[in-house]
Amino acid sequence: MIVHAAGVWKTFGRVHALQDLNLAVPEGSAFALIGANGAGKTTTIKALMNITQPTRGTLTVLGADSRRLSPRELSDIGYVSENQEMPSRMSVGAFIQYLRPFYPRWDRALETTLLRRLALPTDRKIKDLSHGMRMKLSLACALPFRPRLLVLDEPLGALDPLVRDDFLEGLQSQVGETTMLISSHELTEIESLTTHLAYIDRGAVVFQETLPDLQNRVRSVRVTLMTGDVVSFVDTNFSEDGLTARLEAQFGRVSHIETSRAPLRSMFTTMARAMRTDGASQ
Amino acid sequence: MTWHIVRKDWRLLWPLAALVAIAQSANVALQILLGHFGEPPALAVVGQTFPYVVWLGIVLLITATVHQDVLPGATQDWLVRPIHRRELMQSKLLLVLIAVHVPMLLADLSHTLSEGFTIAEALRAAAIHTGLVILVLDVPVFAIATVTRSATEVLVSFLAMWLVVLLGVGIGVAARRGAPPPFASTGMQWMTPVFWSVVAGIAAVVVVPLQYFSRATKTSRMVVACAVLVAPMLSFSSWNAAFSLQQWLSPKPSLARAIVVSFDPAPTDAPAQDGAEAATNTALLPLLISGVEPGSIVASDRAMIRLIDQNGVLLFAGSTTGNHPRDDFHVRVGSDGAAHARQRIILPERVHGRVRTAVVRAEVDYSLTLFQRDSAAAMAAIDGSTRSAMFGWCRTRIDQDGDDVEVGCLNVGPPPTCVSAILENTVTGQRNPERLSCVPDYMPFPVHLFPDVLSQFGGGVKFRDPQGLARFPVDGSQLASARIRLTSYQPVAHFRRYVVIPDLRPADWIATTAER
Repeated sequence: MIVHAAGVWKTFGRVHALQDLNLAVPEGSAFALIGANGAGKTTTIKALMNITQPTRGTLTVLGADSRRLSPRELSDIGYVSENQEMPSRMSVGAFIQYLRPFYPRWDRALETTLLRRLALPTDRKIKDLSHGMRMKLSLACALPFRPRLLVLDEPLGALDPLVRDDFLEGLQSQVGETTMLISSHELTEIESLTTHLAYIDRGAVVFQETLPDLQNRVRSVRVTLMTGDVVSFVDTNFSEDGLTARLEAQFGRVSHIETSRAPLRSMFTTMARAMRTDGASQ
Repeated sequence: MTWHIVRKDWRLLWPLAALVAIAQSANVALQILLGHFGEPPALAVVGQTFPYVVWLGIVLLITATVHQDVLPGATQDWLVRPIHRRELMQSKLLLVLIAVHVPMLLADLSHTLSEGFTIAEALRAAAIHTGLVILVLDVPVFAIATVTRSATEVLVSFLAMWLVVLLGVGIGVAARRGAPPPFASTGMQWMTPVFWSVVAGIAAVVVVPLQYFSRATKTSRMVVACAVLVAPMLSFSSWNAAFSLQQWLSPKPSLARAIVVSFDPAPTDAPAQDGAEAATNTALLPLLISGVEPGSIVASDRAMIRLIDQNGVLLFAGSTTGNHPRDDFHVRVGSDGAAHARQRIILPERVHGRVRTAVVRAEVDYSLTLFQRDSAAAMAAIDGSTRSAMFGWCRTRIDQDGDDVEVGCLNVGPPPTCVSAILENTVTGQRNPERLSCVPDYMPFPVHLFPDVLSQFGGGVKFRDPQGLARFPVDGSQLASARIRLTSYQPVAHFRRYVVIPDLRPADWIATTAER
C-alpha cells in the first residue's frame, strides 16, 4: 500500500476531525476520497502530507511515517490543492526553475510538454494568474518529476469547463504511471479516472472498495409495476438473488425490472442522504 | 540547496535590501555630517531619529526574508516540497546576514575609517556593532517572524509586547509605591537590557528551531508570551542579587578591600552633591572614606538606611534618597588616600517629624564603586585635536556663548563612564577647577549600539562667567596657550560597607540654605 492509515485521529480542540480513520491506497490506483463537506477528506490529505500531524494512530506514506516525511519521500509526491499558496511575486517560469533542483527526477521535456498543453504563460507573475491558471500551474509543478504518488485536494473546484478539461487531460496522462489520491466533489469528472474509492463520513472511512465492486453493489434500479407506475431508485446493497420477490414485497406486482450501473454522483448522493438520515436518527 | 533558496529570496527581496542598505549608508553620511559636536541642531534631531527608520527597515527586511516561506499555516507550497527544514532555516539566516549585515559592516567600516580610525579598530568596532545588532534586533525579530504570517502581524506583535512590558513595569513601580525599578538610572542599568536580550535570545533559540523543524506555532507563541511576561519581572530583580553579580564582575575587587567608610562628625568642607533637595527633611551626614588609592573616585550607587530608636523600635527603613533614582555621591580621593563626602538623607515628612530631634541609631548599608584613573589625553584649548584609545578622536572649540571650551569626541565604543576635564595654561601651569562628569555604567563588556558604530560625546569646560561673578585662573585671554586635559576613570571594584552611627540626632545635620 502506498498510503496506509490505521486508527488515525485528529483533534482540533474539542472537534474530532478524524476518528479512527482506516485507509489503504494500493499502488497504481486512482483513488477517490469522497464525502460531504467537513467529512475529513482535506484533513486526511493534510495529515498524510505532514502539513498537519495526526493526534494519534499510524499513517504511512510510501512506507514512511507521515510525521517524518523526509525530502526523499516528498520528492516522490506531487501535491495539488485549490488552497495552495505559491510564491505570488515569482513568475511562473522562475517558480518552475526554482523547483527543478529539488527533484532529482525532474523531466525537462515533460515540463515543456505540460506547460504547452496547459497553456501556461511562463513570464507572468503568479499573483496575476487566475484561479484556474494557478491550479494548472500547481499541476504543472506536480507532474514533471513523475511522482509515485499524486495527491489532489479538490483540484477541480471553481474551474471553468475549458480549464477543467485541460486539467483532466493532464491527469489522464498520468493514469497508470502514478498512484493518484483525489479528493473531489466533481464526481462526474473524476469517475473516468477512478479505480478505487473510499467514502468518508464524520472523520471515518465508511467503506472503501474498487470502483467495479462498488458499481456491482450499488445499482440504479427501474421497476415497472403492473399498474403501469414506474419506480426508480439506487440500491446501495444490490443483489440479483430474490430481487423480484423483494421488490414485489415492497411495491406490489412487478411487470419489468431494469438495472444499470449507477453514476458515481448518484451513488454519492444516495449514500450521503442515507448517512444524513442515520446521523439524524442517532 | 541553501544557496538555491537564498538566490530565490534575493531575487524577490533585493529592492528592499537595497533600500535598507541605502538607509544605512544615509545614516552614516548623516552621522559624518554631524561630526564631533552634533551640529547643526536641526540635523542632530534627524540624526537621532533616522537610525530608528533604519532599524524599522531592518525589521521589515528580516520579516520579509522569513515570510518568503511562511511557517504557521497549512497552505504554503513549500510544505509539500522536498526542502530540508535545516536548509530552509540556514538560507534565511544567511540572507539576513548578506542583506542586512554586509551593508552594515561596510557602512560601519566606511564611517570609522573616514573618521581616521585604524583598520584594526574599524574592523573590531564594526564586528562588535553588527554582532550586537544581531543579538538585540535580528534574533528577536527573526523569532517573531517565524510565528507570524505578515509584516503587519510582526509590528502588531512588537507593539503588543512593548505594551505588556510597559504594563508589567508600571505594575512593578506601583507595587513599589512609585519607586522605580531597583537599578534604573544607576550604573547597573545595563542589566535590564542585557537580561531582556538574554530572555529574548533564549526564547528565540527555542522558537526558531521549534518552528522550522516542528512547526509547533502554538507552543512557540506560548514561549514568546512567557518571555514577554518574564521580561518586566527581571527589571525588578533584587538589588542585592544584582549588585552581587556586579561585584563578581569587578575587574579589580582587591583594590576595595582596604577601604573604610565611617561617620565623620568633624567639620568638613565637602560640598553637598548636586540635586540635594531644598527641603527641611534633607539631612547631610558627613562621611570619611579612607584607605583608597590616591586620585581614585568613590561613588555611592545606593545607600539603604535604617533608623532605630533607643528602645530598638524601627522608625524608618528605606533608601536615603527616597525614590530618586540616582547615585548618592561621587568623590575624588586626595593624596592622603581619603575623601570626605556628604551623605544625603531624605526622610519622608511623617518620619522626619518624629525623628528630627530624637537621638536614633542609624545603620547605613552602602553599595559603592571604586573608579580608578584609566588614561589621559590632552589637546589645545582652541581647535585642538587628539586621538587616544579611551576617548577616540576628540576636538575642541569655543562654544557659541564664548564662555566654554567645548570638547567633542567620536569613539569606537561607548563614552568613558567618568571623565574629568581640566583647562590649564601650559606656560604658567595655572588651572581652572576640574570638571568631573560621571554617568555610571558598569557594563563589564563596553559596547556601543546606537545611532551607529561610533559614539559621539563631549562637554564644556568654563573659562568665563557671563555674569562676571566668578573669575577663572585661566581666562579667555590665555586660551591660546591653554590646553584641555581629559582623564578617564573606569569602575574597577564594586563593594559594600555597613556604617553604624549609634547616636545620631538628624536635626544636627539638616541641610542649611547655603548647602541647598
